[in-house]
Amino acid sequence: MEKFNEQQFLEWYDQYVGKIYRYIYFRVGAAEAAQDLTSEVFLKSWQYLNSKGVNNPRAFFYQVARNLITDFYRQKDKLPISLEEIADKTFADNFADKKQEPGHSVAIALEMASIKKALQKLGGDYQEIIIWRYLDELEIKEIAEILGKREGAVRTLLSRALAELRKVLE
Amino acid sequence: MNEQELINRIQLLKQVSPKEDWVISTRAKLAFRMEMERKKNLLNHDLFAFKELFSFLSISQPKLSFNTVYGVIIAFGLILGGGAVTTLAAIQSSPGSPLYPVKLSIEKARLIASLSEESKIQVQAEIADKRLQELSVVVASQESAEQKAEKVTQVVDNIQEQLASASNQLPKVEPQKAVAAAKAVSEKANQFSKALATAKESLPSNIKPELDTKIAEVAETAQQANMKALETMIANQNSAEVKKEDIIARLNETIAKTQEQVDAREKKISEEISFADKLPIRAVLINQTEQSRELLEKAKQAVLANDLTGALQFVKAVKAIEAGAEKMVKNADKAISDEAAKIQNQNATSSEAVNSAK
Repeated sequence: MEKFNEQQFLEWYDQYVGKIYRYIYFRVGAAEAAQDLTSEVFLKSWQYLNSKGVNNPRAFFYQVARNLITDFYRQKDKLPISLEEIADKTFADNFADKKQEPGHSVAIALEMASIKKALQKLGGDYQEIIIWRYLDELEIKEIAEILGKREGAVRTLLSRALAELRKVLE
Repeated sequence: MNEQELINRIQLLKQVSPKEDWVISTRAKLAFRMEMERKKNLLNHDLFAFKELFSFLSISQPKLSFNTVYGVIIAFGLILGGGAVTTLAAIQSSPGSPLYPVKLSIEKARLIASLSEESKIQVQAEIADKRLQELSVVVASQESAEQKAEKVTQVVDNIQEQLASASNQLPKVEPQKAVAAAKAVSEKANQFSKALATAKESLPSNIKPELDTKIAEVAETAQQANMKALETMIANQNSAEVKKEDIIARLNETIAKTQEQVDAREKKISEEISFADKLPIRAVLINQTEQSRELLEKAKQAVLANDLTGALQFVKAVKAIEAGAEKMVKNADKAISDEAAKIQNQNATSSEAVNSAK
């Protein structure tokens, strides 16, 4: 089990913050909520792991993120407006500004918005397996570790998730 | 839509990333929280000792005894206050301070959080300015040579990291912005070289031999950064951002500096290893010097013929020869003694052979 200190933990933060944020963002659908939950992932992980060791920090962060997302959805009904409403309003705007050519940027932003929408129509299990495998590029073995499943079961789940996403997109 | 097309569409979402300022502030909060935890642990330990020390109070006056709840409140007050002060102190800290590594770490987070290569180079330029300022403060300080050397080492390590990283990012910058980025990198590399030479002069030569080596390494990194910058400018010579005269001036300057290096090495060969003038290593070094001179001449001709890419290739070839020769000169002592021993052995064997023949 790998022992770590504060410096090491901050290096893990630098390495994984973007991916954990993205994973949470697509699961909860809103930037502000994703920021809050991502901060919490690292704070809680530090509190839990402090003075202990960890074999696979990345898998551990994803596990904490999953638990926090579950808690978040338990409280979702308390929100004044729906997350989808918040997300759809800002998502395309955020990406439309970033590129040089306006036509190209709008096309990409719209394409991204459509995939994001399709992804959010999937069930939680399908969403996260697609994010982990194709956005965060986790190995099947690593996903199996996070989910506590066999690699074969993860492959089956992934293939079903892709088929479902294709169906939604088409 | 086949599977690969679907995956490609999904991967468009990789562009989603958190905001730079949020990443930095969250990192800072995390670092403070860690420090708070550490202080809390220390304080708990101290409070326990303090409580033990005044345990007689709890026997005679139970109402005045330490209450755990009060203890925790005081601890948190101190920790929270201390955390904020420490943060500010880290940002303001200078080399030698225990908080200086925290400052470097915050800067690193800013770099990581920069989204484009261009903004990374911009952040690096800001960091470089800070290092230059720190270096000048250390050099001008009235501290002992040992203290100065310690601090200079800390700054120099970071300078090398910044220079190497900035020049590695140059090829990734968008073509329209490449020239401006290259100029910025080159300017910083030159400023660093000057500042390091001043720092070296301010320290006695025997104070820290490894620091000398480090400074030489950084000077080398600065040269490489300059070459990368020049390469970027030549690659974009047709862009409106760059003037051909500027590139030619820089190329001529680089050729002149390289010429100085070749001269210096030649002098070193004649002074330091002249006694070994019959050894093969000297012949190799002299041959390399001749090659370097020839290539530099070709570089000058190429500049005159407006073939800037060609000129750069010649200079790069000379740099490669000089880097190899420099290593050979460094190892020359050992090589010379080995060769001398070999010659002696050969002579001894020949004498024995002659004697036995007689």
